[in-house]
Amino acid sequence: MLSDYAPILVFLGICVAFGVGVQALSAAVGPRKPTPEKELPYESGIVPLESARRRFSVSFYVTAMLFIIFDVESIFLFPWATIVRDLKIFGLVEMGIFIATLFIALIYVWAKGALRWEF
Amino acid sequence: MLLATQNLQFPPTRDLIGLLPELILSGAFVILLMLDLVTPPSRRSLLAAVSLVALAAAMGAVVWGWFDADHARTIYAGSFAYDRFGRFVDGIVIASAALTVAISPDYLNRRGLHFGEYYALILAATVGMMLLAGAASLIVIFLGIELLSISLYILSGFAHTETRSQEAALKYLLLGGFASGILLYGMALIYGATGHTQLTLIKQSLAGSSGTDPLFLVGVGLLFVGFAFKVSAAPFHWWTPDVYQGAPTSVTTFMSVATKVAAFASLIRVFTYTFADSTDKWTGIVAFVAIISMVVGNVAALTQTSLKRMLAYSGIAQAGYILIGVAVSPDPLGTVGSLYYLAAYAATNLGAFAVITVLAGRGEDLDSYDGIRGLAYRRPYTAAAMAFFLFSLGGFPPTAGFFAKFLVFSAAIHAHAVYLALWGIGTSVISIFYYLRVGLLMYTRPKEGEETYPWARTSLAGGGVLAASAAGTLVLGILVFLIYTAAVSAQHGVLPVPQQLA
Amino acid sequence: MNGTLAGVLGTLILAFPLAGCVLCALLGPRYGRRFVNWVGPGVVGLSFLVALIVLAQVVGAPEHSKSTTVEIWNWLFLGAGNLHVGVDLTLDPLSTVMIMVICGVGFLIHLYSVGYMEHDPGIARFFSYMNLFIFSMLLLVLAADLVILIIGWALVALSSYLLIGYWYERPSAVLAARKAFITQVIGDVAMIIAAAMLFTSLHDAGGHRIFTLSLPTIFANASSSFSHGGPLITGICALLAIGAFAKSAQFPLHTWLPDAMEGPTPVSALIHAATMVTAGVYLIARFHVLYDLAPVAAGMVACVGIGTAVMAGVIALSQVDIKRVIAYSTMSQIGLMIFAVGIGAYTAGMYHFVTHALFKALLFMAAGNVIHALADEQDIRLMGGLSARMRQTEVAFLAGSFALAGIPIFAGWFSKEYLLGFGAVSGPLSPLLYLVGIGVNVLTGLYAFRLWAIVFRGEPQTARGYAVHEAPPVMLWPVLALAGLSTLTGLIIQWPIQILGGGAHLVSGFLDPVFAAGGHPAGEPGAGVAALALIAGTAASLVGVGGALRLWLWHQPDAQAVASRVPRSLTLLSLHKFYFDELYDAVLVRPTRAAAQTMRRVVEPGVMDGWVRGLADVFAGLSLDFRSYQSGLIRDYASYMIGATAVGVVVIVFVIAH
Repeated sequence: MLSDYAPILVFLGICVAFGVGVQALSAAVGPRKPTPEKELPYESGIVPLESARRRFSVSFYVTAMLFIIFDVESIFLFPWATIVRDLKIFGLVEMGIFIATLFIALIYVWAKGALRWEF
Repeated sequence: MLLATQNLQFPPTRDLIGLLPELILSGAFVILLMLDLVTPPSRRSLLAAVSLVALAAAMGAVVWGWFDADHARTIYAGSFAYDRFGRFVDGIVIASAALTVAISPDYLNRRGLHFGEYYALILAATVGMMLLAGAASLIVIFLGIELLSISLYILSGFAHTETRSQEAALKYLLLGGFASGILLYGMALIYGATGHTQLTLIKQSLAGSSGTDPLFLVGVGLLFVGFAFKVSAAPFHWWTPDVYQGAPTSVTTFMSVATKVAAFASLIRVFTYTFADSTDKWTGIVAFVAIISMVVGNVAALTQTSLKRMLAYSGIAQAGYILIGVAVSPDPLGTVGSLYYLAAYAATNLGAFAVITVLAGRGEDLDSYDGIRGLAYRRPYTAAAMAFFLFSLGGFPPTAGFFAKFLVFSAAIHAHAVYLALWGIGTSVISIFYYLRVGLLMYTRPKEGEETYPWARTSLAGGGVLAASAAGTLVLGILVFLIYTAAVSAQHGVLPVPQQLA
Repeated sequence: MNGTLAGVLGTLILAFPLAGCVLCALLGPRYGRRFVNWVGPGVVGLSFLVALIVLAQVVGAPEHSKSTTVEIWNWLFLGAGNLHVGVDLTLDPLSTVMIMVICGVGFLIHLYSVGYMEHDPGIARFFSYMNLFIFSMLLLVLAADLVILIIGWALVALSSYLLIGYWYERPSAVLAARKAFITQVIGDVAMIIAAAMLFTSLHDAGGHRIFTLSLPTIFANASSSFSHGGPLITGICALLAIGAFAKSAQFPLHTWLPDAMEGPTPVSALIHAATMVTAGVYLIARFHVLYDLAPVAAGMVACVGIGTAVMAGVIALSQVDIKRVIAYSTMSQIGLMIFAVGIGAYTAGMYHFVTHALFKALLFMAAGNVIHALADEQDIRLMGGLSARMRQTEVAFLAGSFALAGIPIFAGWFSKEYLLGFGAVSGPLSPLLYLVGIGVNVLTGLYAFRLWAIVFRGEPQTARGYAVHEAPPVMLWPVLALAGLSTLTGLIIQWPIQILGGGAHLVSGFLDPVFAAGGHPAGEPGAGVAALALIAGTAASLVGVGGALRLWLWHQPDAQAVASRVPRSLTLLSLHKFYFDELYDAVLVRPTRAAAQTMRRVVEPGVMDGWVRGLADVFAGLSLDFRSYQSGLIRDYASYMIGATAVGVVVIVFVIAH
């Protein structure tokens, strides 16, 4: 039983070995002449003005999150569409309820002000 | 085969009726969200009333389902069990939710946390628990756990201005996500080993095998870790004290009771009844975790100085006692004992946390032992109720806790696992110390001029909840046959089909 | 009676006093005296009404179905073939007689308490305890399972403790309550050991063990479990008898009863008439099936009963506290009942229990009127001459005394002579014990009328004696009602001619089937023997009464003069209650206390506290260790969890899967 998985284990070993090996090889063989400019993060040759770890407005995360939630939920429409004829009227009602629930969620989000950019 | 549409019946009336309580509460959830938008802040108690109506309706549907589910069957193509076992647990969960909702408006107002989402989230968590209790497929189990967990993550952080509440929510979220990952891994391995996600089919496919497939056993182990996290059994209990303490007390009330009940229901359904043919492989681990939980919970509770933390550790210990009923699988008495224990634990623990909720002052939670000193001289009835709950937790007759422990220990002896009963009795002795210590504090007369905690006045709803919990605790301690008979009946009807009581 | 009806009636009878207890305790302080005065007696009255229905049902039931046992609920059970304890109630003629007396006499005493406790501030607490007492006693007599019976048995002890110590500011009351409770616990322990022995030795006819303590099951399987006269059954019956002796204040567990007079007078009436002391008689009557199998234990019971009767009678002669005299008379009369059930004359014992309940409640309540009128004076040497001003109380008291002394046509005469008639032909050493019983009759007449003469006749001994008033109606009416009952009950139940053997009278016709069911009741004395016994007993009673009148009423010769001629040791023996308190103090209390002191000084700090503290320290240390892992850091928690999971997976893969 477990021996069926042996190829996977072998494959895993090869992956790890390859990854480590390439890094090690590059470190061992490649020449190293560090200068301050070379140590900088790549910014198209322009000297960076500030840290890349900037704080974003919280609205960005809220909007992004809401987008993903609605996005993922609407994906459910695709498998439904493939069998909508088999499901007949019941399928339509079910999906209607689903869309209505999503719509209510949208109303809630809207009314709570989660879609406003400025506070 | 993509989707066996021809096996499904449309519209699936029978299936919909089987999910009626869940559907009622889901509908109420949506209605509550909309109502919240139009309800002025001062009238938010109305939302509690709406939730109570919905919960009452769901309870009615559950009671009706209890009689209807006389002949257990699965619905939704074998993914949900429509049986008495599920209805039994649903009843406890809904009752806990209703009592929590009833004490909440007062408490939330005092704490300045009265927002409408609270009730919607409680109902969402309740739906998750009910799905979990009835789940007959690994996927539905996961869905139920996630639905209840996500709701509770938010509720734990409901006191969003307090760092302790925020910390609780974050800890619960991160560790909960971690545990969900382990659970899902276990499910994946079991699917890999058996080729099924439905419990009945998994049971069938296990029937022929010797049950020594490491893939399957590791899956079982990881699945158990996921459940042990949810029921807060040691050594997966770490989140419990921190989260119970940090979360608003009314949330802790609900979480400590209902989550444990629902998760235990699923644990019993999966382990005792689905993995019934390989009990000799995993009962050792369950027994070990049970013993660790009893020892760690009871011993760690000894030196606590916070009521909520003490009750959290006590909850860990109680999880150990309930696990005894799983560890003696496949003895049917174990399941009956565990079910009885769950009902008793729900009534008692809900009451104990409700006391802390009801007493909480303006803007802060009652938490430290000092806060309860001399309670009996100012709030004699509340103190008496608390003492009664503590006695029940300690397992004194004539309370629910006594019979719960009695049934679980006697199941252990019946299954020739005397050592479990001995561990249980020994650790119970330790527990008396910290339960009675709190009782003693309440009945210590405050010294002349000594400041006492500014306890809130007990409202009618709060008093009603305390009275209901106390009545439940007493009834479970005296009219034992009521719930015992129901538990036996629930065990008889559980899916996948069990070994019958002698 | 059909089961449902019996269940409803039995539950109602129990529910009323319990509800009264809870209502008085919770709402009494808020709604005050009027509320409590209605609820306290009211609930007992309601129970009495239900008891009347039960009586009608049991009388009306056909001969073979007088006894109904119903399961109210199943309390404890562990699947099939395992331990089973049900809250079962039995309604049969025996329990019906008991509940009639408990509720009926209990109701009158409650009513009387309304007046007696009029000025007491703790009235809500008082009625709460009183209702609890009634409930406990009803539970005891209705129980059809030994476990439930023992619960009622212990609750009776608890409520007696609460009521005797009702005036808890008085050290003497607290001491008396403690003494009563400790004595009760001795009996409880004996009962529980007996129950355990029964449980382990019960077998059905096929030799299979029976895992229940349900009374009907015990009785049905008694003959298959025990050999007649075997040591096991004798031991069980002796232990049950010790329980009965503790409750019924029989030698050697009798010393608590006189001290129990520290409670309010209605409490004394309740303990002596309706509840508590009669429980022992009931217990032996209820377990008659077992006692029929253990003649040695039954004989022991009979000897202890008659012995206590004589001893208490002698002591009563010299006591000077009005309530103590009546208390010793109770002890003496209960002794006679215990004697009766010991020789197998169960019906006679129960008959005397009924009449005794009536006249003893009467005597206590009449004495209570006297005490009340004299502002809580209890010493009879300071009374006297009350008859002029408390005429009605005196008449009632006289009726009670006649009944107690066994003067013809009064209730006590019928039952006592009936009882002694059995003594003449049954029991061990017969008719020797019967002759002792005749002696008890003389003593009874003496102390009963000594009390009346000293209290009501002669001249008042204190100024207050001239200023007394008759008791208020609420205290007088219950007394007069009982006086009427004490006078007439015997006549109603049984025409005088029937005592000579002219057919069964109402009580025996009602009760005999219960006792005939499993055992062998004592043989009825023949007409000739019965007549002879009746004449001898009546004559003895009259001699006693006449002696009392000469000594204490007419003073010809004066009692003091007679006492001086009796050997001093005898009077001292009576005055000091046979030195039992002193004996127990020397043999039990002092050594126990000395041992306890030693334990406290030496064993306790070093050994007991040592290991308890040590253990506590160990666990507290362990607890702190555990706490140190609870760091509050998520990364720690996560690593503990993953570590535990990893260990588990390793164990599964390398140990369990192989």
